[in-house]
Amino acid sequence: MPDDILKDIESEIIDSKEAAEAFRVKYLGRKSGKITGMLKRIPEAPPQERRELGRRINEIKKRAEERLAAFEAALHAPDAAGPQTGVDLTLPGRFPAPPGSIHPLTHTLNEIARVFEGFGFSIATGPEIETEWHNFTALNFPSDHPARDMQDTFFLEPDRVLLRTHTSPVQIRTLLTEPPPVRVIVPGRVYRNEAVSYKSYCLFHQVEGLYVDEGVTFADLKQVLRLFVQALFGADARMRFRPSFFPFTEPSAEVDIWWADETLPEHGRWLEILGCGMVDPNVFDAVDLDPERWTGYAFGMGIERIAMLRYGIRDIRTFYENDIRFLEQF
Amino acid sequence: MNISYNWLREYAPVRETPEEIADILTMGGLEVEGVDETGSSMDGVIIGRVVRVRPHPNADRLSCCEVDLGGPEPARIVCGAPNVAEGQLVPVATPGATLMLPDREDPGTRTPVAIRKTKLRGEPSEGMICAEDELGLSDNHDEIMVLTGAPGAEPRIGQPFSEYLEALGVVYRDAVLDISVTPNRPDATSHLGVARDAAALTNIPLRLPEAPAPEPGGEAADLVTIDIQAPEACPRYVATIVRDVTVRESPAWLQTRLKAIGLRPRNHVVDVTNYLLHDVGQPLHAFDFDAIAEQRIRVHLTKEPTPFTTLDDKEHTIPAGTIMIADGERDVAIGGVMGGQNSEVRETTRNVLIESAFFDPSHIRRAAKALSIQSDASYRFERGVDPTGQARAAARAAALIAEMGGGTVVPGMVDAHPAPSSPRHITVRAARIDSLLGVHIPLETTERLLQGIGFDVEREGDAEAPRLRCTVPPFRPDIEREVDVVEEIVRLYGYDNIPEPVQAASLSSGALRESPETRLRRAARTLLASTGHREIYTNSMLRAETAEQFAELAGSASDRVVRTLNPISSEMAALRPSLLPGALQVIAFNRNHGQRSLRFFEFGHVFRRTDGQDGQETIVENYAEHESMLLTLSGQASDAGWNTSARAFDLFDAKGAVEMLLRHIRMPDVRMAPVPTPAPGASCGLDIFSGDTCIGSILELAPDISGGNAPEEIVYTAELNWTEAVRLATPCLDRAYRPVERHPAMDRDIALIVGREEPAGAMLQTIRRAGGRLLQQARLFDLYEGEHAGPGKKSVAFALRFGANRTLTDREVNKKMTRIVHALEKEHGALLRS
Repeated sequence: MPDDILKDIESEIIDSKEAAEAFRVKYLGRKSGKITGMLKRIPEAPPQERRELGRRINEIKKRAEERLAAFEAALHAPDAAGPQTGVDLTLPGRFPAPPGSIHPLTHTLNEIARVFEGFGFSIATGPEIETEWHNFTALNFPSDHPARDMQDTFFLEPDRVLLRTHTSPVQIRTLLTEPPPVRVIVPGRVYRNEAVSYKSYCLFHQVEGLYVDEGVTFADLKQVLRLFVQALFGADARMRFRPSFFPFTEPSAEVDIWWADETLPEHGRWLEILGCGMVDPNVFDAVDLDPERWTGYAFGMGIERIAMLRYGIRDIRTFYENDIRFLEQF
Repeated sequence: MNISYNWLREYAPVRETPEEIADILTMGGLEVEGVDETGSSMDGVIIGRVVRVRPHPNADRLSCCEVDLGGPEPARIVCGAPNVAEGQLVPVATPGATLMLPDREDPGTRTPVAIRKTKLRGEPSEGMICAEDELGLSDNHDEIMVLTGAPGAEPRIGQPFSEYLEALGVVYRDAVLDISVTPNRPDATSHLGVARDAAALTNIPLRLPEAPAPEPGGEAADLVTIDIQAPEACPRYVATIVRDVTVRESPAWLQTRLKAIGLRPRNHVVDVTNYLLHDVGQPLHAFDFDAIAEQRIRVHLTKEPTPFTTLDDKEHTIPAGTIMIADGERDVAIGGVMGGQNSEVRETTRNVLIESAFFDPSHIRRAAKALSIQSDASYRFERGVDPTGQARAAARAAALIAEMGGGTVVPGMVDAHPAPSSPRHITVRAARIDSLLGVHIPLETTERLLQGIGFDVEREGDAEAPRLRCTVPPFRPDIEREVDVVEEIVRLYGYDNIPEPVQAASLSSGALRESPETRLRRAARTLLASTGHREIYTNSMLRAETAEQFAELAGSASDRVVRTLNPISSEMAALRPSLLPGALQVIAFNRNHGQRSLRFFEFGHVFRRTDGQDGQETIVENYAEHESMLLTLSGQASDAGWNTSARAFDLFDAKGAVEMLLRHIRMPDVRMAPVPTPAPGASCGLDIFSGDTCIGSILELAPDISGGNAPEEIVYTAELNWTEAVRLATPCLDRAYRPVERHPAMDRDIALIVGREEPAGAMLQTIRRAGGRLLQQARLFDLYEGEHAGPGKKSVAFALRFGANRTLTDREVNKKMTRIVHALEKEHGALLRS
C-alpha cells in the first residue's frame, strides 16, 4: 500500500495554492491524511515489521513534504526557470511593434478638442494660405493696423494673399457657409513674421472657438471657459477674466491662470492663456448676419503655450526639433 | 508706459498701495505688467541732536561728533560735512539701515549700502549723518540736512525720520507702474488718463489740473501767424509764446517727476513739454522762436522725399505725404514725430514758441513707421489725443516755462482751428446691455460708472425700454458705437462680477458627429503610433531651391513652388510642396544623435501655385493646398534579439505600413503600381491608387538624398494626399454589417513556375479575377528563385481560400482552380508545379 501512495504523490499535479492545500490535507492532514493514517496504523502491524514500515512511511512523508516545498519555492521565485518546460522564461518578451509616440502638440490639441467636443462644439478647418480680407478686413482690423505690416505677416501677394496670422479667418469662412447656430472649434497652424527664439517661432498652432446663436451672452462665455480651464488644469485652478482688446471682439478679455511657483515672492504668478470676447457687430456685418438678432462669443489660444505649461517645456523650438529622446516621452 | 504712483495720486488720491492699484487697474482694462518701488525706505533713519563736535585727530576734513539719539549714551559718529555744528537736529542712519547711495562718478545710479559700526581713520563711527542725496530726497551732497521743522512738524530726538517727513508732507518713496496700453485706449497714455480710471474704479472723485486757457488772439496772435495748409492732417494748431526766458535746470520737483518715469531732465523748457505730455497726454514742442523765420508757422504735407535733420542730429529722408512744420523759409519739425535741429531750444534761447497741435493719427502712424522713429509724441498722436486739450496744455506749458525761467507769457494765443469737432452722442439701450452681458446692471449703476470716466449721460425712452443718451468725452475717439459703451460699462462693473448662468450651457443643436476628416486622422495617428512610428511636426517654410527639388519628387512642378514676399531668411523663403524635406532633416538630426531606428510620420499642409491653370478648385485663387500624410523609415527595422536577427528597413516595410493603414481606414479598391521611371532623387517607387485616383506614392530615395548608400542609410518614404484619401474613404466609413458565413471554407494551395520577371502583383490580380466571388482570400506564401526553379525562372506559391453562403462541393472548387491555373498559364506563362 505505501508504494501505491508514493505513486499517487508523484503523480499529483500541484499548480496552484489551492492544489497545494488539497495535497497537504489529502496526504498530511492531521485527521484524515493518508500518510498520517498510515503512521497511526503502525502499531497494528506485526512488531518485527513495524521498524521497516515506519522508515518506509517516513520516506513517503518526506517526499510529500518535498513536493510541497518545491511548489512553494517555485511560487516565490517566479523568475526561476520552469522545471517542466526547460525554457528560460526570463528571456525578454517580443514586442508586437517597437514603441511609437504621438507628438505633444497633438496630445494637447486632442485634450482641448475633447473638452469642447463634450460641450457640443464641432471641429472646423480652413486654409493656411488666406486672403487679406478673411484674415484682417472681415475681422474688423482697421486698414492701417500694425498687424497688416510686412513686419508681422508673411505675404504671398501684396495686399491680397498671406499666410494666416491666426485661425480667426475660419470664423468668417464658417459664418459665410453655415447658418447659425454655429458652435465650432478650429485647430490649425498659423504664421508670424517674428525672429525665432526660445519663446517665439515663425509658426505655431492655435485653437479658435466660435459660438453664434440667439441670446449668447458674456456670462455664457465665462462659464464655458471656466469649465474648460478646470477640465484642463484641475478643478481647483484659479483663473481671472481681464479686460483686453481685439479688433474682432467687444467686449474682449484675456484669461489668466494662477501658476504656482514657490520661488517667486507671491508663490506664483498670473499667466495669460487665452483671449476671448463677444463677436464684434462689424464681424457680423462682414458676413451679412444681423447683429441685432445674433450674438456670439469667440476665443483663441496657443497650443504651444498650453503644452509648454503642461509639460514644463521652456523652449518652443523643442517642438520642431523632433529629437527622439524628446518624442519618446509622450 | 511708465506711470508714477505719486504723480497719479495728485489726480486720484487713492488710499490703496501701488500693488493694490496695479491689480485694480489690471482688472479694469489697463494691464500693469510690473510695479517697481523706488526711493529709500528710511527704515533705521532717526532724528538726533549733535551735542558735541571736535576735530578728527587724524583727518583735516572730518569731525568727530556725539549725537543724542534718545538712548542712554550719545552715538559717536565721524562726519565729513563742513556745516555740522553743535545743537543741530539731523537725520542719522543708524547701524542696520540700508541706504540707496548715489555713485559718486554717476549720481544717476544708486546702489544699496548697509550702514555698520566702523572706524574711520582710527575713530569709531556708529552711523551716518545724512545729506539729502544720501536719503534720495535730492541730488544735494554739499551739506548734511539740518532739520528746522514747520508748524505741526517739529523734529524730535529719537523720532523716526519717515514720520517727520510725512508730517512735513515730503514724499520720499514712489512706485512706477509699467502699463501695457491696448490700442483702444488713447485716453490712458497719461497720468491724468490713468488717474481717471483709478478714480472711477475706486469710486473717488478725480481732481482735474487747473488750466485756465487764455482767449485766442491778443499779442501772441500779432507775433506769429499760423497757416495750416493740410487741415485733414492737422485739424488744430495752438501756439503760445514766452519771452525773455532764461533756460535753466528744472526745479527738484519736476526733475523728480521725470526721473520717476525714467526720463532724464534736460533743461526746464524741454522738461516742461515732456512733463505735460506725460501729465495730460498732449504732446508739445518748444521752438526757439528767434529761429522761426518770418515769425510764421506753416503746416504742410511733403510732396516729394525731403532731407531733414532732427534734433537728435540724425539725418532723415522724409517721405512724401508727411506732415511738416515749416517757418517762412524751411522745415523746422516733422509734425507730431520730432522737432528739427535748426529750431531746437538751447541754453541761449530767449524766446520760446510752444506748439500744441492735433495731428491725424494715420498720417503720424505712417510717418513714424517710414522713419522708424517711435517718439513719445508719435505714440500718442497715433492713437488719437484729446482734440479739445490743445489750448489748456499750451497755456500751462507757457505759465510753467515763464515761472521757472524768469520770463513772461505773451498775452493771448494763436488757435488755428479750421476743423472743430463736435461731441459724439451714442444711444445705449438698457435691454441691450443686459442681453449682451447676461446680467442685469441697474441703470443707476451704469450711469455712475459712465460718469466716472467723463461721459455725460441722460435717460431717454419710457420705463419699459429705457435708453441712455451718452455724450462721449472728447478724449475717447475710440468710442463710436453702442457696443463700445457696453464694453466701458462692463470693464468698470468688473468682469468678475458677471455671474455665470444658473443652468448649464444649453446642449448644442449643431452636428455632434465627428467629421470623417477628424475621425480618419485620429484613427491613422493611433494606428501609426501604436505600430512603432513617432509623430513629428516640422517647419512649413524652407529654402526655395529645396522646395523646387522636392516639388518634382512629389509629382508637382518646380515652378509651382509658393514663395513668400518677405521671408525671415533665405532658409525659409518658400512653402513646402511635400512633407519630405522636413522629415529628412529630422532623420539627419536624430542620426547625428545616435539613433539607429527611425520611423516617423507627420500630418500637415503642403502648397503649390496653380495660377488658374490646372483646373484645380482652390480656396484662395491661384494657390492650392491640401493636407498630406508622410511616413518615413530608415535604419534598423529590428535590432538583433535572442531569437531575431537585425534587419535594415526596405521598401516593403513602407509598402506594408501603407497597406495596413489604408486597410485600417477602409480605403476602397487600393492598387499600387510600380513607377516606370522614378523622378530624380528616387531609386524606385510605387504609385498608390484608390480606383483610378492616384492618392500618393511610396519611394526608395536615392543615396544622395538619403544621406548615404549603406542599407541602413537609405530612406523609404510614403506620402499620401490625405485630403483626397479622406474624400475617397468617407463613403466606406458607414457600412452595413455583412453576416458572417457559417459554412466551412476550403483551402487550396497552388505552386507555379513562371519567368523571373513576372510580377507577383499581376498574378494575384489574375487569380482574384479568375477566382470570382467564391475566392475569398489569396495570399502569396512562397517565393523561390534557386536552381530547382530552372534558369530564368522562379517558383511562386499561393494559398487560396474559397467559401460562400453554403457548403461548397469539391467539384465547384476544382472547377475554379482549373480556371485560375488556366488564366495563369495564359496570361503569365505559368507552369503548374507538380
